Amino acid sequence: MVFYGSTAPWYLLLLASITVIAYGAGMIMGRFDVEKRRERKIILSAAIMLLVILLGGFKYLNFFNSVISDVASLAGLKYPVRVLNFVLPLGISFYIFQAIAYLIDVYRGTFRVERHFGIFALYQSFFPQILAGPIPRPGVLLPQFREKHELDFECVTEGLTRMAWGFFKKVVIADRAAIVVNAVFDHPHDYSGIYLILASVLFTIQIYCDFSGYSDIAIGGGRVLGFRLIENFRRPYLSRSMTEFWRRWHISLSTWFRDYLYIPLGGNRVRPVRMQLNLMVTFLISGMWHGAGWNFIAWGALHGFLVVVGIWTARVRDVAAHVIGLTRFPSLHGRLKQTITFLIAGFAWIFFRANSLGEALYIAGNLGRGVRLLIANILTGNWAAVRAATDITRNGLTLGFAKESYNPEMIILMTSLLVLWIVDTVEEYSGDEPVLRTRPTAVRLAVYYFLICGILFFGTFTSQQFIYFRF
Amino acid sequence: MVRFLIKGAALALVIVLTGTAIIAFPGAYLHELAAVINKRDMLVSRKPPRLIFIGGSNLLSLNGPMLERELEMPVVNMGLYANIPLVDYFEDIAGYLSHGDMVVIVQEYGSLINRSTERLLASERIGVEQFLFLLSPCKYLLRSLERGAPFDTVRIWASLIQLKLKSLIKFGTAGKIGIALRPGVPRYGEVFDANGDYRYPFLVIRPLLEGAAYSRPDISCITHLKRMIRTGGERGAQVYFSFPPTPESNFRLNRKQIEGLYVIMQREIPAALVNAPDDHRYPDDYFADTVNHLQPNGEQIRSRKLVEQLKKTIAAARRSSDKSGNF
Repeated sequence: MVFYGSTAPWYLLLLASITVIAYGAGMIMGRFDVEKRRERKIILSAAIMLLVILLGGFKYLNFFNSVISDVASLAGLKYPVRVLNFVLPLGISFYIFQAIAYLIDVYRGTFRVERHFGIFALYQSFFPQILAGPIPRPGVLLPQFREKHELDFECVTEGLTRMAWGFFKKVVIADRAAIVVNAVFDHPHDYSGIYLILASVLFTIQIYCDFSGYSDIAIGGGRVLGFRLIENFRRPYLSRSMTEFWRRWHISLSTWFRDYLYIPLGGNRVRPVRMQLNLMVTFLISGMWHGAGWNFIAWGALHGFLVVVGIWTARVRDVAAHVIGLTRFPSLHGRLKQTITFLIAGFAWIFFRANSLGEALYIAGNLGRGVRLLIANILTGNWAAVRAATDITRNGLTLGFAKESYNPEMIILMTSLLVLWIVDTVEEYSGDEPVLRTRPTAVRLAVYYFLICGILFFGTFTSQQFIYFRF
Repeated sequence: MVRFLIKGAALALVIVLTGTAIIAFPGAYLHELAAVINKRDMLVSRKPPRLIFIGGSNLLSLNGPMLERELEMPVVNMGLYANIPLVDYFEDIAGYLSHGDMVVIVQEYGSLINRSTERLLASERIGVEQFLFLLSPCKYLLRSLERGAPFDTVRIWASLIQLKLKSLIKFGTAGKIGIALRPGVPRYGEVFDANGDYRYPFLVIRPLLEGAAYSRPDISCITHLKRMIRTGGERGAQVYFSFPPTPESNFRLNRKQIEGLYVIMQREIPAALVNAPDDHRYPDDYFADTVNHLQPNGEQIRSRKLVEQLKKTIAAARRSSDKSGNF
């Protein structure tokens, strides 16, 4: 509570209100037998509506306000409601979804009502995950508050290592990539296609390292205290399809949407057309959850479309792979699928990162601008032209870095990406068990040493916030 | 628990030693303010009595060889950047001053008068202090402890390691490892001449940057100047103050503040003044990118004026020392 309130004391009031609403609704539902579904449903609906109104009020009011204002001005009408200026409470989308998960589980009878207010409040405000998840499930986290947690140095070491890895991803990779990404995405019209591609690829990496880095810190922080939080990422860029990508990316949110929205809508048990519609609806709402803006809605819609297209074309792709003989080389086939999935996800991230839908469309439409000429110059060995096209300096900076330090920064970024790729690949083949646990002490100490040195000696200590703190 | 703590402490110690070894290892820092090391080395390499200039980047538009020739004294130009806290920089190099040295402080009006400079210094403090830390590590370590911010030292330590490693990466990957292994700033000799002046003229930019209305004169700058005069005196050096060059337009805009400052200086440190603000007003055309940097034509005129003013100052100092028998 102190941790959360230190950012802005009034956030505490909101958090407390949400906790009281969820706790109270859960207690009232608990008074009715499981058979009394109607009464329970009324309470559940009322509580969810209240929570959604709170979320909508804080997060979407200005967005809807501006949409109505735009429509009114198009119709020549005067719309006098002004934009309200307030800071979005940190983590509101996460802890409201956490409260909804609890209420639905209680309603379904899959989880018993938590009668101890203190324990429930702990569940709602557990500090490692309150700001940006992972969104815990009541069945996983709540029972842990009733367990005794003794200081276990194995857990502490494991947790600290996980946190250090999270910090490495954040300060060495994500924040370094962010400097290039911010420079290009904030002024996309100043850059040619090759830079738009570079920034898009780097944002694909930045958002993964930023958010999975945060999740590692949160999970590691929980582990230090003896808690197990649910995993949020499983090497998403090693996915072989967009459907698989969503099983590996922001797992706590995608499974939340699966369990509390997609399945109640009918899930896979309905006709294919209805199932695809359900998918589209789920992804659209997921896009809106991420941010109040047309670009987020477009991003959600694009992902929904990509997943649906993936289903439509699955058979055709399999046949095509068989015909051209790719199936005889499963490893190559797998790598190709991974690469294509990475590129598609990267393209979709443009809509997520761009400052507006208009800019997203501009970037998406200009990725190829000047690239053909650049390739022609490379092929003909016209290095002067290549150098001229790639020597971008704006306000004395090269893609956000001082000209002098641009090369070493890029070398550090590429090297740390190689480290990330090696670690992700090793983890992919060794399952979810911590790889280090079974290694000799000397190896473990060497890893800790290089990890901490990496953070201290190559970290970019800017004031770059975690991206998902905005949601 | 004990084993855990011992392992943790051992790991921390090895990391600290690694970082400190990187800093101690000879090599360049990929930042132009690392030139403080080269300038310190230049000061040490010149035999006293010397004519030492210290101040901000206005001193980079100075003709050191001309001053050296005319005044028949080795000239050491320590000028680098206006936002380096001058009193600290001065004290960091004061240990290298000797009897007979003549130190001329030339601080920009922005640093002397503008109160907003203090805020700028606070925000930039760590960025600038890290280079002064290279000159006197113990002093800055103690200072961060005194102000209850020991992590400032950790930040400085980590930042210096980063700058050194980046220099190694930059020049190592380009096959020019020799540059990365020289102390100070990479390619110091290409950018600065033997006196510590810039070899190349500043870019010409219009309108001139950093020209703004100053607030009222800040008395703390006088306290700092007095401290530097006293510190220099304790080392047997004479410390003087020369007004910086300023464009006519900037002078007109801030006439009241500049003249107010001059009145205070005449009252507080009359013996240290080498000239008056009017002496270093120049047409705007003589300036390059900011109100502090002159183009080569302005640099020549400024240096010639300084020669004349310093000749008079030296003569006056000799006369007074002849009377007291000290010079």
